[in-house]
Amino acid sequence: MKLTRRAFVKANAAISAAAIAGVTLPASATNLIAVSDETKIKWDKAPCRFCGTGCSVLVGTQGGKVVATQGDPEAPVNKGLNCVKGYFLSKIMYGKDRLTTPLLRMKDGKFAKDGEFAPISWDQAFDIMAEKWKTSLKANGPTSVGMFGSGQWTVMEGYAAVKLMKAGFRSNNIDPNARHCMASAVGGFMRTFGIDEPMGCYDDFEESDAFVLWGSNMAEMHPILWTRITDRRLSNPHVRVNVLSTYKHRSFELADTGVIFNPQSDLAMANFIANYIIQNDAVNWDFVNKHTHFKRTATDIGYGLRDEHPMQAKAKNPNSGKMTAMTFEEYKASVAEYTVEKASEISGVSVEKLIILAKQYADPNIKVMSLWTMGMNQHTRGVWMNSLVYNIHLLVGKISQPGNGPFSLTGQPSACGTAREVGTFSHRLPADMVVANPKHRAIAEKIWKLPEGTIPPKPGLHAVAQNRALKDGTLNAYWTMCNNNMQAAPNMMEEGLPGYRNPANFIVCSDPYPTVTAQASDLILPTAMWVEKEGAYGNAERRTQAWYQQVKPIEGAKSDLWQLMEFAKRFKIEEVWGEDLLAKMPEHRGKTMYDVLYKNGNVDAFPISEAQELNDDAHDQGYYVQKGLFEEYATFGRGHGHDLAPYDMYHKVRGLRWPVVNGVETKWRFAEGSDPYVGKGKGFEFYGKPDGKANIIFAPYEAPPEVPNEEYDMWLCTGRVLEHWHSGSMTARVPELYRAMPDALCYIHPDDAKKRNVRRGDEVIIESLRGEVRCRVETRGRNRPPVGLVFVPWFDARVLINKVCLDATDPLSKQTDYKKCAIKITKA
Amino acid sequence: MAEQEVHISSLIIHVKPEHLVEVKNKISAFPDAEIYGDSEEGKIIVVLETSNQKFVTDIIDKINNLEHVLSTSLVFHQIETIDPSCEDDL
Amino acid sequence: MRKLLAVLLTAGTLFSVSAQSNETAVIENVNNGGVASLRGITELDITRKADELKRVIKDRSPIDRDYVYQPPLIPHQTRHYEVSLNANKCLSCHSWKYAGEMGATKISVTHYQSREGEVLSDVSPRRYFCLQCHVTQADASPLIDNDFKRVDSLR
Repeated sequence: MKLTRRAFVKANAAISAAAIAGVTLPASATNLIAVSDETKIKWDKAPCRFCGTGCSVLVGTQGGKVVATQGDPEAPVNKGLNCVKGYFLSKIMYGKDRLTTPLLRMKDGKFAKDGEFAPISWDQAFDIMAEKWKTSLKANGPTSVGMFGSGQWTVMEGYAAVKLMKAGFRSNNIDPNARHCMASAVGGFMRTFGIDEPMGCYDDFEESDAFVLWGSNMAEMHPILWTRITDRRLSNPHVRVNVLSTYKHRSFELADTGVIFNPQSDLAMANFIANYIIQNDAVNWDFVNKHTHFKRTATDIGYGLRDEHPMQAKAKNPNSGKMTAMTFEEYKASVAEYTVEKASEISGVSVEKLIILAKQYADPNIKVMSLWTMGMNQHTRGVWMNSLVYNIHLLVGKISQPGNGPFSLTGQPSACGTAREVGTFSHRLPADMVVANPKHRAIAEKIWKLPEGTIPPKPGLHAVAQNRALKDGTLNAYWTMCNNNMQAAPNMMEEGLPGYRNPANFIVCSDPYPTVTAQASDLILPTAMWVEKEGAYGNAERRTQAWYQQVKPIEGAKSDLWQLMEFAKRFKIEEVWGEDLLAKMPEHRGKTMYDVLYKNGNVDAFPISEAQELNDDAHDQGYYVQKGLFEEYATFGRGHGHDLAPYDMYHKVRGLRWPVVNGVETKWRFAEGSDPYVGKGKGFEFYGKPDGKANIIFAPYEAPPEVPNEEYDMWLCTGRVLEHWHSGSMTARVPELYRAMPDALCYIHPDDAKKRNVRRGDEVIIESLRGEVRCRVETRGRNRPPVGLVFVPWFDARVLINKVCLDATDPLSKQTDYKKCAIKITKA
Repeated sequence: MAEQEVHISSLIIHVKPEHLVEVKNKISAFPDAEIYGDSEEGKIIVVLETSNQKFVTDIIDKINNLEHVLSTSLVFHQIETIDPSCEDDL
Repeated sequence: MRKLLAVLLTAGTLFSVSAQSNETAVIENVNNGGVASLRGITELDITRKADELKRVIKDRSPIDRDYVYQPPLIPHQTRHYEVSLNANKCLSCHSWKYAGEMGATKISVTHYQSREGEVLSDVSPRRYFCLQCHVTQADASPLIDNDFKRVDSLR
């Protein structure tokens, strides 16, 4: 019997509907397609591998391979839709150059920093790694080893890595690539609310009357959330969409008010809106009196550059996050200087538009949702700016209510779940705790069943500091996993590349594909990805989603979790802990680091019989490792406002938004009736702060570190595109996505192009004080910068725009500003 | 041109469980609808093959208006252009 | 060995090695060890010459799909098409109303459903920005070949 295409499509249509409805089809209906089990497509759910939106997809597998994907109609996030990247998920694991064996730089059969990569076994790979780590620990102590992780790690992988580094190696030098994208958001949340992550959720999209995008191109970066805003706007004519950016992009297509502002001037605009609210008597006094304090922050805090950098040396209060209390009258006086005229002058935005914007916030009858991503976070005053937006919402009491609230979007699938909630940052521990706090360390040590004093108190090296330490030769054994930081980190030519290639260092890179990071490393480990393993992610609305392994990994590749655990087996606890620590728990003597960290009665608590048959990580360790890690991790947050449901529950639902108390998720935190942590009769309670009150924190406009001058006469802004995710290591290997957006172009205003005698398609050299790249010019593309600014996407490994970027960070969050530095453009 | 357009779509129809058989009989009466399966909870999987997408929405409306139908959701829709001379025999 | 390994690792892949022999490394010890990435084997400290600007293919017949849920690719150019609050150029050919007359592919009836699953009389606003899912294609060979395989019945 030969199957017709028509019959196939019909059977497939029936099967996918049945999968969603949970209906078992009789054999007579499926035998059209199921000649044997071999040819049947098996459908199961998984969160999308890409951005922080957290769409759910149905993955179709057949014969051990993914053969199709589709949007999950049952998922509340995306209700059956995907963006173009999501629709092509089925191809991301099958790029022809998937890595299948560890590769070590060798000469004459031995490791050599200047050697050529040659295949070795996993055993040999861990041998050389362990040797290098041990040498480094012996010679220079725990601060000489480090790890750069990911907001794309599963929750369990991130958690296992934190334990490995902070408790095993006793080094806080672990930081995720989420440092590059979410650190300022975390800083803003902690300073204003004392607890991380958005109070609202995606349900706000269907309730809001006005949307304000403060530096986010959602149409390209969060397309599925954009469909919800589009739906709301087009179905309800009273709804207003306001898009603020330093250049015109696709989100402007839906904008009622499109605002192009000068880089860094968002600080002035936000303060103006606060001032407008006060001047027009629109303060919600009941809310402000009951639920807020006024604070001012230390100013002139520098730019997170190396201490000897002249711009850093000039700062009066470098890196100071000090806040002092003030009265409302003092706050009023502080914002009073931000008149509409002054804000207009600094921002270049018309008075009229600024007032349109301010009115929407001030009007008590308009429900406003503020949204932002990298425009606000990748900002040398990102933490300040996050709080300035919270100030506005707090002044008018538009927060923690359906349709009303500030919403910080995330860029990675588990930036929230893994990087922030698990605490894979160099200063953090799970559930918003920090290493510097002795009480927090004690809690972690108790849960982990480790002696008091295991976790070092000093925060470790953050992302940018890691690259500097590599270059300086003070960080020597370094593992980069689940990221492509050579392409991502700023100032590659002066910091990242010299750091990786410093002969004093040994660099390990775990990745499914040979990335530019792999090219700069010394040992490359082939890694299993996405549905080749079981895991869980946490999205931007606090929704935790789990998935089962659905296919065997490509032959030779192993998951990050397996790699972390196998590496831990290579160390006797005596080799990483001092005698003082061992004396406190002599029962650990002679054990491996793996035994102490993972075979601790918690992580290995659940038998293999509870795991799926296809779960390589669990079968390799002999117990249900993902569940054990998740449940031990969940202990940190349960009862403390970060409650997660029992692990098994996440396999049955399309995610739940924490805190999940008594099986019920929380949509709006801090609001009575929605959040179980809010006391009766309180209305609102910002319980992250001891007295339940949020901070309204004044911060002024301060200039960016590097501004265009006579020679470097233009601004450079970099960022993502719709078709590629991050550095393109997955999406550029999907032919359809590559062809949709093959090259990173330099988007430039036609007048600027003309001035430099270049036309569309001409090759130009883009140069900063730090490095140069070459690419082609686009004058009429989807991005339309104003005169004086260019946009160059950073997905393109052939361009590497990070060579040009300045490694200035927010001094508080340590997050890089990728949105502004000075460059010059010449015809190639 | 010998090519003709075929619209294939699948629906999940949610009905009150006690009226499952009754609704199934009514759906079977539609010439373009084929029932592929159902569940005790009252979910019916229907595949439509129509020559025009207007017909799809018409049928969905008609099914939706049937008594005891709680909801109808369209899961899948694809337009195939099929050259009848190339159809294989089943 | 180095060349050999590069060939081994990139077997079957296409990458262009630009003429860079006259350029010299600027950072010590930079050496990709023979491993090719998406930038090929051009060393990381080398400023790579820009690739040619690719042309978007125009006016081809529909491009085959690899699985039934894959959104159709756009087989023509869309430069200067306006899709905004004011107008939607895509719908002026592909909407059910005009598709026949314009000889264009009709948009799928899934697009006539709201988020809640109700059938609408017109395209759902959530589907309004066509280019979020449907993309044009440049006339270019893939950077790296892909081993994804269609199910038998679609081959």
